Amino acid sequence: MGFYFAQFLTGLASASSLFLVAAGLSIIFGVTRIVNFAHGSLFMLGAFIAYSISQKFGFWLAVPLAALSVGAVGWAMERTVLSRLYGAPELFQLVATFGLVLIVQDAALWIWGPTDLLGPRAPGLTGVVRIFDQPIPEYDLFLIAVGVSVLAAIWWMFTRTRFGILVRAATEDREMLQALGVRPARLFQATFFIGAALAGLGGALEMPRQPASLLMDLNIIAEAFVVVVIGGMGSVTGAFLAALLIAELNAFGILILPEITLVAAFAAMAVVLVIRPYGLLGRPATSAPHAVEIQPPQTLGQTGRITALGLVIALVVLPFVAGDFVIVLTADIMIFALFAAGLHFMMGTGGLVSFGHAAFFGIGAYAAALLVNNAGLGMEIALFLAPVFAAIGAAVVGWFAVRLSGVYLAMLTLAAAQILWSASVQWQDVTGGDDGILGIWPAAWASGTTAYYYLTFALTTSGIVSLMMLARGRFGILLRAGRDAPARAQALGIDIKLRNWTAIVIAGSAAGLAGGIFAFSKGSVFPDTLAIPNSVDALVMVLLGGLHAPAGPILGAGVFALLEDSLSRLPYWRALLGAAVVGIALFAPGGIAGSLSKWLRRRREGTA
Amino acid sequence: MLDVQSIQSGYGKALAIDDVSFQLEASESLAILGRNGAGKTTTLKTVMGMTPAWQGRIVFKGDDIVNLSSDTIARAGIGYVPEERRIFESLSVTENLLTGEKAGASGAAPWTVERVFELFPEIARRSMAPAGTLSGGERQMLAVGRALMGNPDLLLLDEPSEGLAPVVVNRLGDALAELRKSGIAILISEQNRRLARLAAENVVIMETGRIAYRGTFTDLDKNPEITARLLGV
Ligand SMILES: Nc1ncnc2c1ncn2[C@@H]1O[C@H](COP(=O)(O)OP(=O)(O)O)[C@@H](O)[C@H]1O
Ligand SMILES: [Mg+2]
Repeated sequence: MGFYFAQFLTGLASASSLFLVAAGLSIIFGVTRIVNFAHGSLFMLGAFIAYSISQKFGFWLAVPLAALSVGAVGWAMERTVLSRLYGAPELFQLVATFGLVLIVQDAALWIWGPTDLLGPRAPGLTGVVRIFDQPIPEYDLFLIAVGVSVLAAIWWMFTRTRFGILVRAATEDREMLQALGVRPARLFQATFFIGAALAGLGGALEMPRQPASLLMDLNIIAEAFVVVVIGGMGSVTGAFLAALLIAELNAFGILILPEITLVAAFAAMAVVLVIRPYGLLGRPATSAPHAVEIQPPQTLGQTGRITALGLVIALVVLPFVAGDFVIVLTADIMIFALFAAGLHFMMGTGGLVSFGHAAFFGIGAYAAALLVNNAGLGMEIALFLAPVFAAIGAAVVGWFAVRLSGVYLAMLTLAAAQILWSASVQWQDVTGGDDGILGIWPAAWASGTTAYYYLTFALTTSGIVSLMMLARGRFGILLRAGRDAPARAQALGIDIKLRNWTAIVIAGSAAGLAGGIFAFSKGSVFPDTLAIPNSVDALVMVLLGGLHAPAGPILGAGVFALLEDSLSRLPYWRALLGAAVVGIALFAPGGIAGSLSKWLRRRREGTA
Repeated sequence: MLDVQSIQSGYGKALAIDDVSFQLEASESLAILGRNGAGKTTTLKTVMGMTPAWQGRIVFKGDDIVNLSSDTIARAGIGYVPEERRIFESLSVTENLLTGEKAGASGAAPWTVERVFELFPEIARRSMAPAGTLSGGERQMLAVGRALMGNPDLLLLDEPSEGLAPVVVNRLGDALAELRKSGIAILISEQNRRLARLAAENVVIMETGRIAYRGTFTDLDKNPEITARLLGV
């Protein structure tokens, strides 16, 4: 009995930080309609900054100062990046905050180095008290008190101050509030400051419990997403309840099956979403304004077709003229072009964002590896089943996501990828953990660099061409109708949810096929096929190539591979990628293809 | 005070209003009549900076306000009561009023929550209730009260009578007449002529996005064929 109560209190203590992060995320979303993917990064900064301040000024000064500093960082993010994107499509807002994650990640690496930093304990709260004969850290009780106090403070602010009333009004109808004379810019800045400061406070308070580490950002953001989705986007009380639920689930789940705590959180979210689609205390979001016209597809022109033909011929003759290194590099590019083409299909044609697309790539890779190694199947069947398994995974994630607004898909895919990644690391018996699975070699007829190259060529090309044809055909038209004019498409009797779901499943299976091919080409699978950087790579390829250009993913994969080859040895390569992502969102939403065609058009008009 | 000069606006590429001009002196009131889809709402929204003007100028108290942001326009002294009322449903009645609170352009702030409640005792009784629980008439009073809390010199009202019972329309008419006496200028769009003439002396009639008639209600009464042709009554 006493033991379970102690475990319950531990859960409450963990809920505090989670609540602080989720509350900030929720408040920012309510007012600005932006899901801040960099919110976990702010939490991480809170921990690092608190560590640094505590070295000089001690624990008790470090906590509030870190919260304020992180508030200032959030404010600066809003000023420099997000305030320029309030009118932009949701997708670019999400992408930009995601770019910030990469930048903060490397900035933290640069400032604090790669080792974990354990901060001081809280002076005056280092002891334990005995409750039901169980030792409970005083600091845990303090954390519980902080969580409840912050909830009370937020409640007070929302109901008793003019700022709070305006925040709630903005959550309902921003445009009307502006027409009453309220300056949106000030409201947004203040909201970002407060939301970021809450995340920073959460990070700072973790000091005595866990060391500041570079893994904190993505770990907490996945959990915070689960919390706000369960609680209801924009609802602070909902976030509080959901944080309690998740934290208790973790506290008790760890007693039963330590490997599956994150999976349990995801399952809890699934149950809540089935019963209450907008979360415990959420309400249907008023949808953002949409484009009224359905944009026509961009198709390959005359030059495009000739280039494509030339490319195919070049790829066919390549093994006769090039060495092994170039052949393997080219095969890799083709695999990633297929991976990116699936993402491009759902993002460009469907307007459906996935930030965890590596989840499906990884499912394909692990499925192929396990089928060969554990089930003893042949390469052919494994390659056939890899996309099937990935499609099942995508169907599960997509089933929830299409019932909700676009931001949910981005959050759910990221959370799913993060959860699968931790499962692959922790579930050693099956996945081999960090050691991965080795010895996955192609069938005899396909082994050897050249033979496997041609297999890769055949599979990826047919995959990419099928995706292109789907995007151009009737299915693509209906998908675009759902993207650009959902109300009208609905009125015309198009089942948008079903289309979107299908698109996600197709994109997932393309990623799964790419993952399967990848596994056999490397002969091994490691957890990093599922990790966020792999998702980011695909995302950058799509954006770099051009979201709305048919050849975007091929161009993107090619350019990315060349850049990676020359730049990835730079120490802060991830930050460069992040800056590129933010830059594309801000200045070149059309990517290389978009900028190129704009430049060509301008030149033609200039000479005419 | 308000000089709208040949404005044009629309949605996407579709033109909704064209060459719309009218003037309004301080403490004067003007009604815009017209059938559904005539362009009344678009005209008010363009004045308010909520739909972009493609052409034309809007001068308010000597300053060009065309295509400024709506918060700037509101702070210049224009209060807006939209057609759908757009009250904040999860906020209480009093909180709704507080969202509109600001000093007038001159710095004076005669309107308070108490004064709004004096004008509309109906909503005073519900002051703590969530606005989402109000009836249609109460919502309209709240939307007007919220706009008044910003101490405007000019009040824009978009079809305030829409969907309201005749008794409530009368009640609203009395309140608007009282407001006029206090010196606030009113620009009201209506299909209900009775309410429009309680609120304003001058009138323009819009048809398919253009102004088809301008004059006073007294003149309009002498020409029933105009009303029949433009308003279909
Ligand atoms: N949000 C909108 N999108 C597209 N067209 C609109 C929109 N609102 C109004 N319109 C069109 O603009 C024209 C004028 O409408 P509106 O200003 O609402 O007229 P009124 O207020 O007189 O009924 C109509 O043809 C209407 O169909
Ligand atoms: Mg109207």
